Amino acid sequence: MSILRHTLITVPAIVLASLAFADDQPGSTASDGSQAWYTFAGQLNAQKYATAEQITPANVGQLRSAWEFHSGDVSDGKDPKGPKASDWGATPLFVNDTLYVSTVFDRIFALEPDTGKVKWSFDTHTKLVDPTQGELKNRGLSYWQSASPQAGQPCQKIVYLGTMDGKVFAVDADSGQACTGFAQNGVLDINQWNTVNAKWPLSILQPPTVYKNQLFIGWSGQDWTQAVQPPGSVFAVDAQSGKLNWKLDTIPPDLNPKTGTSNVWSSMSVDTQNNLLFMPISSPSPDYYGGDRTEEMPLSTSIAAVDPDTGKIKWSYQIVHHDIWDYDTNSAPVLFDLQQNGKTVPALIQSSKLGFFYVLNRLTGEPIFPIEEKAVPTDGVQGEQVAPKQPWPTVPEATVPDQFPGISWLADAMSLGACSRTMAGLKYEGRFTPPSTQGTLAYPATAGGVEWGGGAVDPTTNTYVVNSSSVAQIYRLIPRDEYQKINAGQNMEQKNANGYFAQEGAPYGFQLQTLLNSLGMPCWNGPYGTLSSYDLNTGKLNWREPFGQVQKWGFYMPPSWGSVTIGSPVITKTGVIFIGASMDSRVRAVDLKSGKVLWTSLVQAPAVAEPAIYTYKGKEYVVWAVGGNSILEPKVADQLVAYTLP
Amino acid sequence: MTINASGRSLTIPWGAVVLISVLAFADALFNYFWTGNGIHGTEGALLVVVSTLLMAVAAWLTGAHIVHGWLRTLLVALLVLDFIGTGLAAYLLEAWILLALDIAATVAWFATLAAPRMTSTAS
Repeated sequence: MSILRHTLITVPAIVLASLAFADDQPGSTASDGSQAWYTFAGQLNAQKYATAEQITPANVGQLRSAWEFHSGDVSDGKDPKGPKASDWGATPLFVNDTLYVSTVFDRIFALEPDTGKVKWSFDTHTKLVDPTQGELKNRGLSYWQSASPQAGQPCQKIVYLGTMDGKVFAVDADSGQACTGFAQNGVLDINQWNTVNAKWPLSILQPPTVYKNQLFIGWSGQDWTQAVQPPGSVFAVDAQSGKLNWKLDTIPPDLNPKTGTSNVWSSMSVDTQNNLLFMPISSPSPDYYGGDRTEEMPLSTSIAAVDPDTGKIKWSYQIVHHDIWDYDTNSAPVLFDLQQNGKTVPALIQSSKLGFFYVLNRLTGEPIFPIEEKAVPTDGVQGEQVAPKQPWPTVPEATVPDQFPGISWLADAMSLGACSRTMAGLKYEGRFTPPSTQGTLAYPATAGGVEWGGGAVDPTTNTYVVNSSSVAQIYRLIPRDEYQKINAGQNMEQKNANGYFAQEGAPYGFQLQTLLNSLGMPCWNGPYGTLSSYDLNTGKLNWREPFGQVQKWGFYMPPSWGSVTIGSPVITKTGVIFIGASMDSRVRAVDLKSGKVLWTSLVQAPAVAEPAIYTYKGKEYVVWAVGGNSILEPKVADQLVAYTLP
Repeated sequence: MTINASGRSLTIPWGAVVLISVLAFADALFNYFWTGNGIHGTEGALLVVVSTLLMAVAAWLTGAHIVHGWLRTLLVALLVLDFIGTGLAAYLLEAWILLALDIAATVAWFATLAAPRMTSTAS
C-alpha cells in the first residue's frame, strides 16, 4: 500500500519563517512583556518551550517550593457513594497576569501567580458522574482574549472549561462571572450535535484549542464498548457567541452504520503564520477488530491539517492503516522550522504510541525524513482484513525498539517461570502483529510509546525532547459467545476492571492485559521508560536515558529500569528540561545537553501534566498540577505546587 | 565493661546494637507515618518497622544472654539476616537514615565478636 495521504489540495510556496516562529494570538504575552503560558502545550505550536531565563542548569538545584494550592477536588473513588477516582492532569494557564487552573470537580480557580492566593473561583455545579471514562478526568482550560476589546464590557477575556458531560463553560477571566452571551447563558452543550449513533454522551477532557476568534472542540468517548458509535467530529464555535461555525466529520458518512469514533481526544496545534489547524485523529471503533469496517477511512489514526476558517482538510497523513491496535494519534503535532541544506522547511513532528516519529512538511504533509511502507504480518482472525503494509519511519529513531526486549530473568524467576510460559503461548511476529484469539503480544501496545503530552522543542537549536514508555500488553480477541459467558452478570465497569472490552456488535469481545507476573512485575526487560533528545535538523539521536523510577510497595527500583511515564517535558531557553510523568511521584529537572537529572522534588502523586513556566514580578516559577493517573499508580492528589529560586 | 539493661548486663557493643536497633525502629516508625516522604503507609515501610523491632528484640535477647544454646545461635543467625534484609529494604526505600543506622548496628554487632566473651550476669 502506498503512502496514504487523503487530500493534497494546495502546495503553497514554502514560507521562510523565522526560526522560532511566534504565536500572535492576543494574550500570548504577559503585561510585562514576558511569555504567557496560554494553552495546554504552552503555545499554539505545542513546542512547550519557555523563554524564561532565571533558572539555569547551574542553579536549578536550589529550586524550592514557593507556594502550594489545594482545591479539595480529589477523590480516590473508594467511597461507593462518593465520586469516582480523580485523574487530574490540568496544566495551569498563566495569562492575563493570573494563573488559571481547573479541577476534576469542574471548578475554575484564578490564582495570584506569585502566592497561589485565590482571586476568584467558578463552580459549574456539574454532577460528578462520569458518563464515559470510568474516572473523573480534567486536563485544563482554554483562554481567549479579544484583539479589539471594548472598554467596560465583560467577557473581553474568557476562560473556557470543558466538562465530562460535554459542556463548555465560558467565564469572564477578570471577574469569574459567567459570560451569558456565550451559547445558552454561558454554557455550550456539544451533545446537541451528538445525533448519529449516540450510544453515549460526548465528554470533554482536553481543553478546546483557541485560535483567532474560534474554539476548536474535540471530545472523548468509549471506543471499546461498541462497534458502532458516534462518528468522530470536531466543532468550531465562535469564541464569544458559542455559535457553531463548522463541523468536521472524520468518518465518511456512508460508513456511520459500521463504525464510529476516530475522534480528536487530545489537544491540537496551530500554525498561526500559515493559518493551519493540526488535528491528531484517533482510531475507529471498535478498537481491536476491523473486519466490519474494511473500507478506506483516511482520517482514522492520522494527522490532519485543516483550514481553521472553513474546516476543510488541507492534507492528512495516516500513521496506521486499518488500525486494529488502538494506536490513536494522541498528541498535538509539534510545529517547528527545520533547517535542511541551507533552507528553512516548515515542519511538524508527530509522536505516537508506537514510539515512531513522523516528521512532515506541515504545509504539504510530505515526509521530510524517510517513512517506508513496510510489509507487516497479515494473519488476523477470521473476518479480519489486515493492512498488508504500514508506515514505518526510520528517522528519527523510534523510542520503542522494533523487537520485544525479551523476558526479564528476574521477573521470570520470581514467578517460577510464569512469564516464560505466558510468552510461549502468545502470538508475536514483531510490530503490527494482529490481535488473535490465542493472545497476541503487542509491543509497543496501546499504553505507548509516547502518550498525550507529546514532546517539546527548543526552536533555537531544533532539539526535540520526548519521554516514552516501553510496555508489553496481551491482546486477546474472544468469540462473542464465549465473551458473553465470561462476562455474564457484570456491568461495564467490572468488565473494564478485568481488562474486558465488549466491542458489542462485533463478532469478538476483547481482553487487554499487561504482561506482568503474579507479583505485578513487568515480565519484559527494561528500561520501562526513557527520555530522549533528538536533533531535528538531522533526525539523529543526541542522547537517551532511562527516565523516572518504578515504585512498588514503597521500594524504588533501580534508576536504570526507568518508569512508564505519562506527561510531557517542557524545555527552557537556558537548557533545562522540567518533567513530572514518572510513577514515583517526583518531578525533575534534567540537563538538556546531557540528559542527567539535576534536581528532583517529591510531590503527592505522579504529576501527569506538563508544568507551566512563567515569570511574574521578576521571578520565574515552575508550576505543576499533581493529580495522579490510575495507569501509573492508584495515587490521587489535588496539589498545585509552584517552585522558584530563593 | 558492661551496661545494665532491665537487670541484664550488656557489653558496650551489644548495648550499641540494641540502642541503634531501637533508633532504627523509631526512624522506621517515623517513615511509616510521616506523609512528607514517598514511602509513608507503604508495605515496604511497614516491613522495616517490623524488621527493626525484631532486630532490637533479638539483639537484646542475645546480647543480654537471655536465651542460650541453639536458640541463641538461631537468633544470632536471624539477626545477621535482619541486618542484611533491613539494609536492602532501606536502600530500596531510599530511607538513608535507616540505612545508616542499619550499617551502624551491623558494625556494632561485628564489634561484639571482637569483645571478650562474658557470661550473663542475670540474677
